[in-house]
Parts: sequence; C-alpha cells; structure tokens
Amino acid sequence: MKALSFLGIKGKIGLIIILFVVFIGITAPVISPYDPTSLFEPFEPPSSTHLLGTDDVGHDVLTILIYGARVSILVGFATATISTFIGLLTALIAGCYEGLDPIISRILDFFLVIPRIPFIVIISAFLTPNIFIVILVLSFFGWAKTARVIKPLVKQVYSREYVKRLKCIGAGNWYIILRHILPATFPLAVAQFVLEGGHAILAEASIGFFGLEDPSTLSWGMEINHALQKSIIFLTNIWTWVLGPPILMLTITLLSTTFISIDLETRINPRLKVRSW
Amino acid sequence: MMRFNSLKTPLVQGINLTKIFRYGLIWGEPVEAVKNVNINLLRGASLSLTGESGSGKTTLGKILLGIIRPTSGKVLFNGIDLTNPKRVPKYIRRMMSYIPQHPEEAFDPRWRLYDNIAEPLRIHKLIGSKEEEKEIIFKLAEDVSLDTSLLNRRPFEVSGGEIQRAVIASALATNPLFMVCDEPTSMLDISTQADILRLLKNIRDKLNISLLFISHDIEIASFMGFKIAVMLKGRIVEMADVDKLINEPLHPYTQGLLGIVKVEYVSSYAKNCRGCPYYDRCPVKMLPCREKEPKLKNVGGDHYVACFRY
Repeated sequence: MKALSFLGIKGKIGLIIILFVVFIGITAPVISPYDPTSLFEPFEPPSSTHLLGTDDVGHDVLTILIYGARVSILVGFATATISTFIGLLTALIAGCYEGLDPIISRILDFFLVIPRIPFIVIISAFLTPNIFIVILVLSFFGWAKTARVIKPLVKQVYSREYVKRLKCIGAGNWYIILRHILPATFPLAVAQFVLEGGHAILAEASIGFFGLEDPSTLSWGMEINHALQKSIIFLTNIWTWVLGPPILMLTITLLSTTFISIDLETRINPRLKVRSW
Repeated sequence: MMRFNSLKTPLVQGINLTKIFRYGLIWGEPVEAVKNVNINLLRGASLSLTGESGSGKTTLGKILLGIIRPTSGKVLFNGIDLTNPKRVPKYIRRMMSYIPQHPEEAFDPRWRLYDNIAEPLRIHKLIGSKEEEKEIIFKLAEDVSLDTSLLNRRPFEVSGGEIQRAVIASALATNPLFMVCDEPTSMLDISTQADILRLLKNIRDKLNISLLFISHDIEIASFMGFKIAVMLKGRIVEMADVDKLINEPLHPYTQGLLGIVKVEYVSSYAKNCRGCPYYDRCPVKMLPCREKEPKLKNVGGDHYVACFRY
C-alpha cells in the first residue's frame, strides 16, 4: 500500500494496465476461449463465437492475443531482471571502486553504441531463434543502459559524508554497498527495471514482426507479421480485427511501462517534473 | 592487542605529511593541500587546528584518521602504520571516530537515529542482544543529553543541534581513543554551539580521549584545545599552548586572525609558493620571505613559529 501511494495517477494507471496484462498472461489457459492450436474459418469477422474474429490461418484472434501476453510478459520480465541485476552490479562496482570506473565506462560505451535489432538479425542468422535466445540477446545489451543511469547516483551516495564516516570507523566497502548504497539506488533501479521491460517487449515484438522468431511462437509481433504477409487485409476491413488488436495491446502495454517509469523517475528526481503553468 | 596506557608515547603521530591533489584530465594542476606537517598527539591530549578555509585543516584531519592517503610521510597510531587506508586493521578503526562538519550529512537519511547511533557497535559486533544494544544506545543518548523519544525519528525530522548530539553519541559508541571533530559547530546557532562545545569538552575530560578539534574560528579553537596550531596553505605556521598563542601570537597571520593586525582578504585557494605562504599579505615581510620558505622552529617554551623574524 505504501508503494502504491508512492505512485502518482500516471503510475497507478500504468500499474493497473501492466497487472492486467500479467493476469491474462498467467491465466491464459483458463480464460482463453479456445485452444491456441484450434483452427477455424480464416478471416471470420468478430461475432459471438469469435469476439475478435479469426486470422489468416484460422486461429481465434482473442486466443492469440491472450497467449501472446505470456510471451511478452516473459520476455519483458526476464530481460528486465537480468539487465537490471547485471547493470546494478556493474554500477555499484564502477561507482565504489574508483580504479575500475574508467575501464567499466569504456565497456559501457562499447555496448551502448551497438544497435540491438541489427545485431539480433545477425544472431538469428546463426542461431535457432527461440524465446530464450531472444531474452539472452536483449539482456546482453540492456544492462549497459541501466548501469549508465545508476552509476552517477552510486557515485553521489558514495561521496557523502556519512559514507566517509563509516569508512573511518571500519565499515568495509561491501557493507556500505549493501546496507546504504543499494537501498539508495533501489527506486531508480525499479524505474529502470520497468523501462527495460518495456523496451524488451517492444524489441521482442519487432523481432517477431521481422519474422526472426520461431514461427510457432504465439506473440503479438508474430501475429502482426502473419497479418502483414496478406496484403488483401487492407483491401477490406479485415485489418481492423487481424492487425488492430495486437498493435493496440502492444501500444497499451508499452504505454503502461512508460507511465510507471516516468512517474517513478519524477518522484526520485523532482527536477524532471514538467510544470504546467 | 596493543596497550595504549603510555602517557609519554604519542598516540597519533604525523611525520612529514604532504598531500598533493591533482586536478584536470591530462596535465593535472597540483594543489598542495598539506605540506611537511609534523603532529604528535599524546593520549588524552587535545590539539586545535585553526586557519582560513582551504588551509588544509580537514585534509590533515582525514590523513590522521587514515581516510586519505598522504602523498608522502607517515601516519602512526600508537606505532601502527596507518599511511595506507586500505591496510588499517579493523580493531584500530574501532578506536577512532570522526565528527563531520555537516551534521545532517553525518547519518544515512533513511535510517532512524537509533540505528545510526548503533551502527558502529553493529559493524564491530560489540553487542550480544537487542536488549543490550538498547541499553547502550539509551545510555549514550543520556550522556549527550539527547531526548530518547527522538531516537525513532529520522535525521531530517530533528534539529541540527539534536543531530549533532546523536553524531557525538555515535562517535562515542565504541569508546574511541582518538576523535577528530571537523568544525562540529559551524552549522549551528550560537546557543547550540555553546552547548555542543561544553559537551565535547566534558566528554574529552571524562573519557580521556585524544581530540583533534578543527575550527576556522580561533576563539572556538582556543576554547577546546590544550594546544593550538595555526595552518595556512597546508603548512603549520605557528603552534603553542592556547594561553601563550592567544596572549603572545608571533606569526603575522596569527595576529591577523586575532584581529591585532588588519589583514587584506585574498583567495583561499592553496597554490604552490616558493617563499613564505603569507608573503602576499604580510605587513612585515622581509627580503628572504619571497625566496625561501621559513621552517617551523621552537622559539622557547614549546612555542613554534615559521617566520624569519624569529
């Protein structure tokens, strides 16, 4: 409850949406109207039997949407967890061990310069594209941004007078890091976690959109990819129920993560707040 | 475990201490924060350091605590070398404490005062149970006249004087032998300053702690110390017993601080200088003062001064 009161209106709206998406992903086998492998008449319009119609193959669109949430949430959560953990650890080491900072900063620069999606395209050419490879590759790049954002805060806290006082009385570096610096950077790490999760969901959808994923993966990106392969959908109103829902779900999910992370960052650093006159 | 009961052996010794900071990416303009300083502090003795801002008082204090590594020279704590901060044994750290200038920054703002005061005890694992810890913390709070009802509050929820009392309580938690107070009253109002100074003096006398008291105010410095050292641009320019220095200051800079001689204010940035560091402002400068730096010498009765006039 205290955590909820920390969020503003935007953050609360974002949290409700993301919790809703997580809920439908977790309960997919229960709430989904049909089995994801069931096939029906292709391009059926929305009706009482198929609330969002069917796609080009004959899958129920609502079923694909619900199961697609699982993939997005899994990729988003796993990538965010790995990236935030490695990024936070790197930031703590770089911020508290002055000698290692220049080396780590140059490594961060290297990882920040490489574009994610083209690199994934290259990786996909050599490896079988499955969900775990996607998570690994996205995490491989995600940690650098987190480390870059958190490092200045670590340095700021480490240079504070009470840290010098603690070192004077015999506190070790890792004691100070775990008891004082980590709690101080936790809110920013959470904001980065949410933001990184959103980026990972978008990146995964992009990979699916480009057809670089395992074709049997039930993701929103793959659904958009399948829909766009049939240009006939734009000659009629089929695109409204085949293309619209996955794009809408993706947009809403990304907006929710953006709302939460912006709200958290504004709370942590009030100078980021945009004043309305 | 070392025994610290000799009254003649210095507890804290700084031998030829120099600290040069370098700024800038490549060329690194050097700044001599401390230059050729020798300090001896006996057990139970009290030395005040005074001087203008940027004279190197805080840097010297941190070098003696083993927080900053000197560029050259040695720091000894009862014979144990503290020169490399990373190699200072933990049991030695337990015998030191530090009271910083800004009381509101001396504690973690997320922790209650109770936990901040108890932290030194927890770091050194000096308490067996929560009840024992509570008893010790409450006793410390009483010793520094801190209302125990404030212990559950966070630092930003109490006044400056109350935080400073809590900082002193935390500093006393491990029964230190050596304490550095870095301008502990400069951020407080006059009446609170007097209370804190009296408290520190009582603690020093009751617990026989060796105290290094840093203050830019020579009157406050003279209230706290048995001996007083005046610093200028990283050097000690005069050192004597408090009464002697206040009544018979010899160095023109000390005379200026006491208001005996009018001094023109210049930038306090400590730059390298070949001759006397006070040459630019000295009203009685002589020819050798420009080219050669005067050494600190005993002019009689344990009174040291670095001036060619003596």
